[in-house]
Amino acid sequence: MSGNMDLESIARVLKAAPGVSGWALHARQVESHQLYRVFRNEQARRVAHTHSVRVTVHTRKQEGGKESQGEAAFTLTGPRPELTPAQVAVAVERAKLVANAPWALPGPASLPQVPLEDPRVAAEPDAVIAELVTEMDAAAGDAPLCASELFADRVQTTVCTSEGFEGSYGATELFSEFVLLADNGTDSVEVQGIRRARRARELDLGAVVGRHASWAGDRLIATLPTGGTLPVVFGEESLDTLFDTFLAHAGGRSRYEGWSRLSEGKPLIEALSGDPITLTVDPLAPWMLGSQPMDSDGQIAHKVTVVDQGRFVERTASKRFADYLGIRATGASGNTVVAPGSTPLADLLAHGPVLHALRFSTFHPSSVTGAFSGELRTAYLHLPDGSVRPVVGGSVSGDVWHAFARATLSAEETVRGGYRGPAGIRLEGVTVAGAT
Amino acid sequence: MTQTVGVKTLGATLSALVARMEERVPYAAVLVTDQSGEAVRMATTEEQVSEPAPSRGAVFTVHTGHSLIEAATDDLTEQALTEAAERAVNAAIDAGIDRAAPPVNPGPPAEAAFDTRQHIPWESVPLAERVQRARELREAACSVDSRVVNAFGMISHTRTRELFVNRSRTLFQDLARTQSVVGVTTREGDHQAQLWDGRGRRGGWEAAEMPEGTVDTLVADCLKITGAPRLEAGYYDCVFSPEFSGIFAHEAFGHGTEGDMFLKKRSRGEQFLGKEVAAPGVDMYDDPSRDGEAASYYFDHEGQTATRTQVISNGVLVRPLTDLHTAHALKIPRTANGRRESFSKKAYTRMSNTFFGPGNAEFADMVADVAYGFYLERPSNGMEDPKSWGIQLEGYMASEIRDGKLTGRVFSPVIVTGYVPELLQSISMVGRQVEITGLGMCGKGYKEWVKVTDGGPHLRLKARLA
Repeated sequence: MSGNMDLESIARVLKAAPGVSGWALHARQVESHQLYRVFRNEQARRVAHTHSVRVTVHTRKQEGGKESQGEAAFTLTGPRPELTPAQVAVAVERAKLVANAPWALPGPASLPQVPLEDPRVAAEPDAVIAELVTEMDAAAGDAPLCASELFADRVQTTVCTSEGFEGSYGATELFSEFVLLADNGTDSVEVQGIRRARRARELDLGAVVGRHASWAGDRLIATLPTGGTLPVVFGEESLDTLFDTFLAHAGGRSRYEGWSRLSEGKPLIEALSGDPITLTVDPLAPWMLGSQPMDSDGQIAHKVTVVDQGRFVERTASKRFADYLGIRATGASGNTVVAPGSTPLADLLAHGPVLHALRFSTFHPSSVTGAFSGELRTAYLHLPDGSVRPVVGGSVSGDVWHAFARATLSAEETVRGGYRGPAGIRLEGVTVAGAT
Repeated sequence: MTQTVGVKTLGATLSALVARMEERVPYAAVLVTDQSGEAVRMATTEEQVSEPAPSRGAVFTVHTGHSLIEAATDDLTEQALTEAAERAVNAAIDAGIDRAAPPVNPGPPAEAAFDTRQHIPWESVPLAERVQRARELREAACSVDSRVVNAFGMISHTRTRELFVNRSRTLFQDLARTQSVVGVTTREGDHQAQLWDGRGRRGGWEAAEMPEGTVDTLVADCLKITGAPRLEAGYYDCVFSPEFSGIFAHEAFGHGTEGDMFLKKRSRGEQFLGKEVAAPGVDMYDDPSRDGEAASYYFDHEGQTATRTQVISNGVLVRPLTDLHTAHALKIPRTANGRRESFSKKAYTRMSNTFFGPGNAEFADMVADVAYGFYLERPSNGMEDPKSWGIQLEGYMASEIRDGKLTGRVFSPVIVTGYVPELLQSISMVGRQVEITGLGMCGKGYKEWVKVTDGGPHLRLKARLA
């Protein structure tokens, strides 16, 4: 890593500054090696070094017998960032204009040890990229791989606070994006894949490219789904965001802002007739993408069972919202871990018609309402006679609060990025818009 | 707060570096960017005055004859810039220089500096006043109805200084953009909804002015969609609001005519150049030179002067948007669409202000003969598939039209899916008034975010809704 970020000097300036009741530094150094290809030719190769220190300043004041907290933040950039008293004074003036409920920055704590930095990626990023290219090309075989981007990043994150917290950890991240074409002489289609991981092992690029090549071929013969109300088994990419609504309503922010539907000890879903879910937020899982031993405030991360057997147990909360609500601070985020069910995936797809939805154009259930919609990019319709037909276009839509009342979770697990859980989740009564 | 180096003053140093680089490589260029800003966000439960993370750095580009080699650094000292230039040249030589390849055209000679006019410079308005304006937006939203459980007012300002240098051109631009946004969360029993609205324009404090009635309409609409049912899936006559037309333009043939997608054989549009793709009377443009729009600029990140590109003319696909590498490789004209998320990211072909041109229909006439259909407003997001021309548009509000009249019944959310040419060819009426929305950002696929705007007039068409 280049640069020499002297955080101690920055901290000294903050400690000496008048009017500052608290402060936090969140420093990041990133070294990014990037390869871009058009078909199998190199289009561009880049190396980028960036450095930043986010400085947050807190102030306190009494107004009408009530204490409030001011906050202002700014970022220093460059490999040798320097902080001047004048910059702090400006931040203090800004902070004084803000009136938030007081909360305390995290104090001393020892950082959990989570393996997130692959020594090979850190030391030889270009060699790792070259190996990934070989793996990707081999898996694509004769399929036209018309575009690909591979990044190998190394990130060093450091946080320190006025309350005495100091923590630092290194992490690596591999990013791959690729597009495969398929052509039958009269029509041509593409399938785009995106995958992120800490190490080449979890990226599993060969297998991923192989699956996408198969989907590209199927897409040539795919047709619009027939419209109606169907059971839909969500798999692959759609699993990344399927639980976002529950996680948002289970967070401290939604409770504090007054729109959380969940109460501790109460069922996640009323009138449940399907599998009860057990949902854990785990920021400490080795090598997973959502893992981080601390958040940007310096709050030590904790594994939290949010929903246990269908019953809401505990909120996740950053230090701010934990203090506001008087609950345990768990850290801002983590991996989504869902306990598998007992039904084999094959059984979820049996007794059709059942739609197996793997990829959407975009799929982001509303954090607030739970409504979801997505145009199908890769999906398979499993018919009553056991045959399977690829479908594309049209959409599925529904509402997670209703749809999860009758959910069935597969026994098979999958791990992808920041999700570990059932490889397939069957929801009943989902609206499918397609051919009329 | 962020210290800005005198980006503009680096011209001579960078010109000398580029000249030295070109002693060893056929084409070299450098872009220096310095972006900083301020965001004042006053929410019911949390107030913030912050500087969004600034971005300051330089990227050196070398063209080897076939590919681009780049080195980026956030250290703007002369020594660091020299080292980055050297890294780019050495990596290019390692990759192999082909001097027999067609040379990159550096563009006509130009030395120019461009500034954004700020009628009321952002810095001239005291911070306390900026904070107060954001609080007023929040309070206005909260005071409309007790079912508003959370609201925020946000006013933000971004200042971007960019210097581009190659052997022929030294261009500097100072872009200022101001945005004001108000958002509400409503709750009725177990039903919640969330909406926001606002405007973004190039300029100073004057651009923070919110159009009258914005907050009242926003809260009213948010309450309408709180607990609103979803509509029954099917094909319907639709009228798109200008905002919805905008996201349609952006997704339908904005991404579909990004030239780098042609290079990768990822765009079906390549086969339809000069052919009819939309109904007669449909025009579409991308125009980074449009005065005052939030995504406007004077030159792109590869030194191409901003001009308007007509993408669709009277229903016919005219030409793609391009960046340097794409135009060079495909031997087609450059447009000013080579853009980067930041100095640390690669340039791609990207849209700027993308919109449908005006027609001559009135909104009332568009609705008048709809037996049963929907008026779509408040889009949330979209996604396209330029190879197969599939499209997804999502929005928060579909207002029922029955026998030529809006019934007041609202459905939420709504998704539009379909085959792009089928949707474009179903356009039967185009409104008179083009409106541009200035709050958008655009990703290339699922990353590489740049500022864009989109818009258009009201459009009447048929679409599959759910």
